[in-house]
Amino acid sequence: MKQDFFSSNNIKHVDYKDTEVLKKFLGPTAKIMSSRRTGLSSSNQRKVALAVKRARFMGLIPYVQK
Amino acid sequence: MEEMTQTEVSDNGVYEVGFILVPDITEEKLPEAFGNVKNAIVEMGAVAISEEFPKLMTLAYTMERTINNKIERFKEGYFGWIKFELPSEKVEGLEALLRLRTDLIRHLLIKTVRENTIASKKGFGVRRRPSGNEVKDKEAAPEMSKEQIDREIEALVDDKAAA
Repeated sequence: MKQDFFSSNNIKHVDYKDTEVLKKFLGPTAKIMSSRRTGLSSSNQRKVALAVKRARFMGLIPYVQK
Repeated sequence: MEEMTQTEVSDNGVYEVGFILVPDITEEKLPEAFGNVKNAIVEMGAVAISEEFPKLMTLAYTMERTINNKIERFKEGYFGWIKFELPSEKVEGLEALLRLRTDLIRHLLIKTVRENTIASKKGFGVRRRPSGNEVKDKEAAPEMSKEQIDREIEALVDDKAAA
């Protein structure tokens, strides 16, 4: 992904319940991808990181994948 | 209703509580359990904005929760959420109240915005590829020049006249 997913789709908020979107930014072991790989702007990368951490806490996505 | 909420308190924040109800609750008693959680929030003086009814889901990992001095482990739970408006000074009280509830495995109280924030429900779930077809469509449209259109219309009219 070279373009910012959120600005190209005109999405302003990143929701932790939106696991379909969040999974785009996780690697095969469920780690958060680096901004170099996601292509997100710094502010959107921070939003994604926060949303992923919230989703992990609520058991929507795993902390680690085997 | 909207006018009332606006005049009541001006510095209200919009918050959202996501929670996981214990899976021991049966499907019939689920509306009651959800109602209890909602009532607890509304009794704090909150005005509900939107909500999602709890759905049974498999948790991504086993969660532990101490209920009545006993560690309970959960692999599934009913996940739901409520979005509401609440004066900011009451948030701490609500958080304390939710922490004491034994019917919740976990809860998450966050500050959010009034509008819907779930993008995948708006149809953004599918990854878009802006290069391929879209650009071709845009180019294809203006290729139909006025002359071409006129010619096609004439052909159609001729066909009709002939018939």
